[in-house]
Parts: sequence; structure tokens; C-alpha cells
Amino acid sequence: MSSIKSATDESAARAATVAGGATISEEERRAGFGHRWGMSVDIDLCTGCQACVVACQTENNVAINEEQRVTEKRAKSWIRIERYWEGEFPNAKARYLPVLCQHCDNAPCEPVCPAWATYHNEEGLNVQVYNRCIGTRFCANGCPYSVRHFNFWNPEWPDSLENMLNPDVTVRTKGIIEKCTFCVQRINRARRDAAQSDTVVKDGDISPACVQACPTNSLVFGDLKDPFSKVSEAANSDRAYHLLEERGTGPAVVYLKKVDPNATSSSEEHHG
Amino acid sequence: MASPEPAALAIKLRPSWKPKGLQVSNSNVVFAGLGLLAALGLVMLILRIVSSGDDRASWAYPTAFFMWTLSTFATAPLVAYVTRLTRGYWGYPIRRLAALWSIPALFSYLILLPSLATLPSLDGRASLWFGFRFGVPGFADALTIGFMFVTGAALMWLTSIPDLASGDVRLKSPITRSLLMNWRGTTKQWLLIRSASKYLGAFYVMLLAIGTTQVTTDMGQSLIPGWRSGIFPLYHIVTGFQAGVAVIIVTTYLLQKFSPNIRPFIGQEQAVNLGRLLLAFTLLDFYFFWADYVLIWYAGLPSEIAAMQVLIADVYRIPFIAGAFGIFVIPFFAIIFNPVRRRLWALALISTIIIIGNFFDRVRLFVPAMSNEKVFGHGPLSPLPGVVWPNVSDILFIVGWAALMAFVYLAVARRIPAISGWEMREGAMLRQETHFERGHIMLLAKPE
Amino acid sequence: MQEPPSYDVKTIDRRLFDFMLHTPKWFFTTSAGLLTVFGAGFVVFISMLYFGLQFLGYSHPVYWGFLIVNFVFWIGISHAGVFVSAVLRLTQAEFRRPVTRAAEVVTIFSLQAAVLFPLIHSGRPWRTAYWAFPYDFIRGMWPNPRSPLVWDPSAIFTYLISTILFVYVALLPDLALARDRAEDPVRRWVFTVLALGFRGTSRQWRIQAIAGILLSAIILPIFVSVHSIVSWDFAVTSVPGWHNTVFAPYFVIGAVHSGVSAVVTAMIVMKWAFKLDGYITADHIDALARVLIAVATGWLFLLFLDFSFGLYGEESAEVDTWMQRIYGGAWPVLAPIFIITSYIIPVPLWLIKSVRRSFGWMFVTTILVNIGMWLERYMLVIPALERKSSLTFTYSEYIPSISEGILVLASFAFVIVGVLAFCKVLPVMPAADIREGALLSTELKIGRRSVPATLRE
Repeated sequence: MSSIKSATDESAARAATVAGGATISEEERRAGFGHRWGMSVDIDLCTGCQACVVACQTENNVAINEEQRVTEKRAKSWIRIERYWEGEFPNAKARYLPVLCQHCDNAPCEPVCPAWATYHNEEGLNVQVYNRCIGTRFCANGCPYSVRHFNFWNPEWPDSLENMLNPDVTVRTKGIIEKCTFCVQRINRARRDAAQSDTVVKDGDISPACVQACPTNSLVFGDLKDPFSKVSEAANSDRAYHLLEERGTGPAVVYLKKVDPNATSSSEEHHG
Repeated sequence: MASPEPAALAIKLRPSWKPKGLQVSNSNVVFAGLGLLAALGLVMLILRIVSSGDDRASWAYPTAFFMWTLSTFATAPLVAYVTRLTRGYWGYPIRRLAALWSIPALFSYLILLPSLATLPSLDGRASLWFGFRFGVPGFADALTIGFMFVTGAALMWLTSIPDLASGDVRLKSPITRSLLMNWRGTTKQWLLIRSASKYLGAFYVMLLAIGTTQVTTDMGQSLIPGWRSGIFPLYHIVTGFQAGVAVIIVTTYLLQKFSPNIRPFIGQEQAVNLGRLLLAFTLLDFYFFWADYVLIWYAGLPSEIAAMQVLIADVYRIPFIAGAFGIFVIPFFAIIFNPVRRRLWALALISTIIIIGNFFDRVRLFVPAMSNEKVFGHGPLSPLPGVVWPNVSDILFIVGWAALMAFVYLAVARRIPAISGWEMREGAMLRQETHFERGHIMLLAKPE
Repeated sequence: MQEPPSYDVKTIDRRLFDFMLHTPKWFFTTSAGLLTVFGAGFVVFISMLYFGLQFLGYSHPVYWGFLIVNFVFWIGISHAGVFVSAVLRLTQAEFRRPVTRAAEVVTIFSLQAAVLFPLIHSGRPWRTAYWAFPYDFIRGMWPNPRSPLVWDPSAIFTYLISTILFVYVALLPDLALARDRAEDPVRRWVFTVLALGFRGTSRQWRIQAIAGILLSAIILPIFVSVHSIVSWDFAVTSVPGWHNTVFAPYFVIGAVHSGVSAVVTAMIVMKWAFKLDGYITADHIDALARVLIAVATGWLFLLFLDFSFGLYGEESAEVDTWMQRIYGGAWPVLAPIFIITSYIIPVPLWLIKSVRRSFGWMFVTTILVNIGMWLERYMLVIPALERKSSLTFTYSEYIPSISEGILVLASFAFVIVGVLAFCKVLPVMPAADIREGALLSTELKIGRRSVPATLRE
């Protein structure tokens, strides 16, 4: 059985002893290579309701987007639902694509930061360190998914909405970049809870705000290194693909293709 | 080598002095030997056309050879042109021997045509021709390169006329007379030669640039999916310039060593200036290569990485390393030293290494392209193709054709003097030695 | 060079130091106007510090705008200095002599203007100022050496320091002359200190000449590498409109094109402003124009390579980028203006000898070139961000704001004021160089003709 490290151990290595006896070695545990966080997005289930967007905004203290911000294309949403229209009226269909930070293994945003404000941690997260960021926005240019947002002003919450801010998450000042963190505060809390109760983090223990809010369970979060987690199952599915695969970014987010009941051939629809 | 003073050009040449053709002792033996090998090369070419005329892979090594001649012998006349533009006085003795290389280079056109005929359809793969389909790519490439070679030959012909038209022109046959433009040395005829050579030289540069872009894309980049490099034609041109200067250095060294006609005119000044040019181009080579490589490495796009693995890191890494050492590493660490640049024989040795290194570089670029079967799509190329080694007939082809280049050059140099008489006289007029204060100094005229 | 300059030593000195010693009225009014523009830019910068970058034209995901375009533009202009001084010195072109100092001064101030822009456009400039520096200042961290934004300051500051050294070495004889001609004690003291005791002995001349040649040779790799490194800010990313290997030489040759044109503009203005009629002659701008023809044609070829190999990959985002560059937004108007002003008007005009030798025509054509080259930088940088990937939902537009316009104008004001100030304090014409040119030029009789000639060892 695995031995549990103390809660102060920052590498947060956990032996994932799963049913069947597959263990991670002691060295890997110490080095913190126990997890590789990932997500799967089932396009077939996504209805475009934007609950994930709202949940993320609430959880992560993202500034409120007024209409003017949206029209001038400065709206900040760490996860966004892209809507693509197909066909003409009256046969127009909308296709929804939730796009969030892909936490790429070969991220184009990471090598270009002069201040090391963004780097890849051992658990596969693309980490954004706010107090190192000097706001050159080079990372935002490099990201092909355009998921990085720059703070053009100091955010303001009207009236008593300031009381709703999540104390676990920094409120960002102007002049720095922010993006989806896979709700790293929830990941850290799940790890602390598991350590305090002497258990391991199991699949389903951690859900970022968007995953928690999704009404159709289109978003699934988990450990890609765990062969029995729901994300790994999704990653091995026939319908699995990555966004912008030809860029070679190695994303941790797996998309599952939409099943089109009207398709005549065996090839399925893509988004693009 | 007897080292004449830097003021070798200040030899007072009598107006009636005319250079003679190449006179090399034991030349007939060498000549015959080269001729036999040249014939072998031609035979190999014909055999290849007959036996595998439409098999692109069998034209891989001949294409690499053609690209090598495009880089070495076709660019050598350009140095002649550039020294004319920038009025480098040290360039006068070497201009004609550089320009003579345009004739052997012309012969390599015979290799280009069958290679172009084997290119696959443009549909479904990347190419510079976009939607255009009429006469591309084979005919268009052949046209541009053909024009380029014709321009080079015309340039060489025009600048040789004053030397060939010795004696009274009216005594020659009508064909010879018209070939020599009825040369009588009038002011109008001189002005015509000068301005025509200026424009022809400019056209030559432009046609080389455009032609290189075309052939290196059609027979190189577009045959390996994922190989997409805007700088590659420039890289090919600049490594070509370096190899062209190297060819001039080797030719100058050999001619001044074996020909008593030419020896008095080649001195340390030529060595030093050619050495500087060589160093500049060597550095530029590295710069262009690095500009290509750092982008591929940094962005890590899978299709580009796969192409890079074929050409540099994995499949053809042996010719790459040989080429890199020959083109950059050895020359750089040799030519940065002044004593090397002062000695023509040292430069000639380095230049030979450069020429061989350039050959390996062309091999590693064009052999994978021409032998690649999966040309369609945009990559990444997977799985990576295996390396294609040369077989015996490839090696005989290369040896034969290299000998053919040398053979044609020697044959031409016997007829057309390798030192340009009229330019040497012009140089002597425009540059004189005089006294200044207590020492000697050169006076360089700068007419418009 | 058809006619050797025919003036004696005393006239050279008096004319060249005239502007330093006597101040014309237009100097004050011009400086006041330019400083006002610069002040407006400064005010905009302070407001950016206080309000954030919200008043600039950025949108998601177009996060770089006019300020970066301007940065690249000024780095481009700065290349003129090295080209004219180092390259023309090493190739021993006589026509460089009056031009070198002005070119180097333009370089120094345009480099400083350029360096300001990545600083002020960043989100937290008070930190950028020292965090990109290659040293660990108490944070326990060094900057990321893999970031092109760390290569940039290294390259640019190397260039700046080398150019300052270069100017200084070339200035030494002129500083000595100024020291000997100065009438008031303050000026005399300043020049005495700066001239480092240069007395014109043969040993000092030899050292000065060798230092100049060495610096010219050393500065040449910098000349090639600085703008290449700036181009790699864009090209090493995988943004489709930027990721093209030809960017490095394309930027360098564009820099020479725009920089040498700017130097010609500056020379013509100086000739008019400082009344330097015998020193800047039609021969000089004729020669520079001929160099420009070759450089501009090379630039056009590289633009063609950029365009062709961009569309070569047939990647949807890259095709969209080029469509944006030609048909999107204001580009149906700006793109033709760009190509017409950069090449189609100037270069064919420069083929005509009377145009090359006319100061008015050269002034107009070189200003057109720089308008076109500014538009070229805009065309390269911004549409690629507006069409960044095949996720077309994120396509956006960049709408430049007034604040950015003011900052761009302020940079022009900064450079012009800087050059003016330099010319006021230090001699703008390399008097020693010109004297040397006059001494070395002579005539050679060939047959019945006298041909101008130069003496050389």
C-alpha cells in the first residue's frame, strides 16, 4: 500500500493504487509525477448553455464583462463557447465548441515569457504566476487557442459583489495576463483534504468550476496518468481528437467528436 | 608561389599587348584524361535517360549534382560581375577566368531537363505555382534556368570580343566577323560593351535568384511535405556564392601555378581580397542556416520537425555533418587567420574543402526530395524515409560529369584567353603608382 | 565622384562649426514644437501607467499594436548608421564621408526611441525596466534566456553601445578641432575632457584609424543580428502570418532600405538647415540612391518570398492572414499605398539620373519610402494576430487609438530633437574625415582626359 506524505509536501505525490494493483513507484511519488491533469470535452453533449463560463467567472474572480467590453472584443472569459453556424436559414445549425486553456505539453506560450511567469509544472499544468508577469503579452500572441487574457484595467465589481470574491483565488491587477488554471485552487484543496484524512485523491474528487456546473456532464476532469479515470477512457475513445492537432502543442484537453445522426458515410463531423 | 607585390596591376602594359590562350605544360595528357572521363559522364547520362527516364528516384543524385553546379560554376561569373560593379581593382586579373565558367555550367543544363521531366503532378501538394498549371513546373523552370545560362554565356562572349578580335577584323570570315560584332574598337562599340555587360550582369543576378527559387522549390521543398522554408532559396544562393568564390580561388591557383602566361598577374592582393569575400560568405552561410533552424526548433510544428529530421537530424545526418564541416566549420576556423588569407595555396586548399562540402550539402537536400515517394499532403512525413546511398552508376555519373566541367573549361580557356587583356590595360591606366610625401602610393581613378 | 571638393582647410572648419557656435532662431521654435509633441507622448505614457492599457487599440487576441510596429520601424531606421559607416568604410567608398556622422547620430537616437517602446507597452513597465536585464536583482531569478524578449535587449544594447563607441572614436579628431576653436571657457573645458588629449600625432592617428576599422568589422555581425533577433520575436512563434524563415534577412534588408532612405532625408534637411552646400553634393545622394536601388530590389524579392512561402503551406489561417493584409479593414487602401510608396514610385524614379541628383526629388522619394516601410511593419505584425488560427470565432480587428498615434508621433519628435541637440553640441560633419577626403583626392591624366582619382596606400 502507499505511504502518505505529510500535508506540507509540496510535490503532492500520491500513490494511485488502483483496483488491479497498478502502483506508481516511490521515486515517481517523491518527484511528483503522480498526476497529469487533463480534461475531456464531449461536443456531442454540449448544448452551448454557457453555465461553465459563468461558473468559471464566479470561481476565479474574473471581471464582469459588460456589453461594451464584448463589442470591443475585450471580454475576459477563461473558458468560452465558440459558436459556428452551419447552413442557411431555415436549416441553420449552431455548433458549440468550448475552448479553454489546453495546458499543452509543448506549449507555445511557455518559452517566450521573459520573466518565467508561465511554465509547465510536474503535474502537467501550464502555470501562470501573476506576480512575475510584466505584461509583455508575448505568451498571448503565441497561444493558437487564444485563451490568454490581458488585464487592461483594474477590475471593479459593482456594489456588494466584492463580497462574493473567492478568497482562494488572487484578484489580478491591471497589466498582467490571466487564463484558465484548471481551478488549481480546487486541485490543491483536494490534495490537502486527502492528506488530512489520510486517503488518496480519487477520480472525481476534483472538479473545476466549469466541470461542476456543466448540466450535461460534457466536461470531465481527471488524471490522464490514471488508466482507469474517466478522462483516460475518453482519451482512448474512437471519437477523441485534439484541437489544432497539426500545431503539435500536445494539449491535455481531449475533445470527443459530435455524432451526426444524419451523416450518410462513416466519417464524422469536425469543428474547425 | 612567387609573390608579386600588391602593385602587380601597375605593370605598364603596352597598348598592343594581348594575352595568349592557355598554355599549360603536359596539358595534352590531362586534357585527354579529362576528355575520356567526360565522355563517360555523357554516356552515363544517356544510359540513365534511356533506362529510367521517368523514375524520379534514379535522378536524385544527378539532380544533386546539377544543384551543385548551379551553386559552384554558375555563380563564379557573378563574382566577376560584382567586382566590375564595385570597381574592385584587385578583380581585374580574375574576371575572365571566372566568367569562363559560364560555359561548362551551360552543359549541366542537360542534366536539368530529364530531371524536370520526372516531377509529379502539382495537385494535392504544396508548390509555389498555386493554381497555375500551364507549363509548370518543368517548362517554366527550364525556361528560367535556360535564360540564365544564355545570359551568362552572352556576358562572357561580350566581354571577350575585344580580346578575340586581334588583327584586322576585315580579314576574317563573315561569320567570325559578325560574331565579333565587326569589332574595330570605336567609342560606340566600347560603350555598347560596357553598358550591355552592366545590364546583362544585373539580369544574370535576377535570373539566378528567380531560377534558384523555382528549381529549389520544385525539385526540393515541394517534394517533402512539411518542408516549408522561405529562406531556403536564399540559403542556396548564398552557399552558392561562397562556393563560387571558392571555385574562382581554386581556378586562379591552378592557372597561376601551371600557366606562365597568367602567373605574373596574380598576387597577394587577389588572395587577400578573395579570402575576405570567402570569410564574409562563410559567415552568411551560418546566418542563413541558423535563421532556418532556430525557427523550426523553437516552434516545434510536427510537419516541420519531421522534414528537419529527414534533412538534418536523423536520416541524412551524415551528409549534413560532412556539408556543415566543409562549408562552415573548417573554412571559418581557417580563414579568420590573416596568414591563411595571405597565401593563395592555403585558400585554395580551404576552397577545395568548401566545394566538396557544398556537394554533400546539395546531396542531403535534394536526394531525399527527389527520392521521396510520399509527396502529397502537407505532412508530417511519417514514417521517415530511409537514406538513399549512391550506387555505382551514380558515382560514375558524378565523376564523369565533374571531369566534363573541367574538360570544357580547359577547352574554352585554350581558345579564349583566361586573362582579360583589355581589362588589364584598363586597370593599368586607371591605377598608377606615384610618390606621396616620402613614400609610394597608389592613385586610383574613379571615372563615372 | 566627378568633381573633387575644392575648398581649403580654413573654410571647412568655419562652415562645419558654424551651427555649434551660433544658434539660428528656427532652432528654438522647432525644438519647442517638437518637445511639446514629445511632452504629449509623455503624458499619454503616464496615463497608461495609471489607467492601464485600456485606451489603446488592443483587443483579444490582437495584443500587439502600433507601439510594436513603431519599435520595429525605429530599429530598422537605426540600421542606416552601421551600413553607411561600417560597410561603406570597409568597402572604401569615398562618398560616405559627409554622411557617416549624421547616419550614426540618427542610429543612436532611433535606437533609444525603439528601446522605449517594448518598455512602455508592457503591462508593468516599472518592473520590465529591470526584470528583462540579465541579472538576478534580489528576486532569486534570472530572466528566461529562451525568450526572444530577452535576446532583444541584449542585441539592442550591444548595438547601442557599439555605435556610441564608434561615433566617439570617429569624433575624437573633431572634438580636438572644436576644443582648439572654442571661444568660451565652458565649451573649451567640455571639449578638452571629451577629446582625451588628441593632438594629431601620427601615433594617435594610427590608433584612431585602427580602432575605427576594428569597430567597423566588429559591428558588422551586430548589424545583421540585431534586426534578425527582432524579427525572431515574431518568427519563432507558430503564429501563421509570422512563422516564416525568411523574416530574418527580410527585416534586415528592409531596415537597410528604410534606414538609408532616412539618412538621405536627414542629409538633405541638414544641408538646408545648416547650409552645408559644398559638403553634401549631388554626388553623395546619387551614390546613395544607386545603393538604394539594389537594396530595394533585394527587399522586393524577399517580400515576394515571404508572400509565396506564406501561402505555400495552404494553411487556412495563413491564407486568411494574407487576405486580411490585402482585403481586410483599411488594407484595400493601405496595401497599395504601401507597395507604391516603398518601391513602385521611388525605384523607377531613382533609375533616372536627374532624379538621383536632385535634392527635392530625393527628399520626396525617401520620405515616401519610409511611409511605405512603416506601413509594411504594420502589415506584417498586426493582421497575423487578427487571423491567428483556424478557430475563426476568435478573429478580431485592431482599431488604432489616438493615444497610440500620439506615442508614435512623440517618437519621431524624440529622434529629431535628439539629433538637433547632438548637432548643437557636437560637430555633425566629420571634419577630419572630409579633410582627409579632400587631401586624398586628386586628378589623373589618362591620354587627353583628366579623371578624378583617390590616393590609397
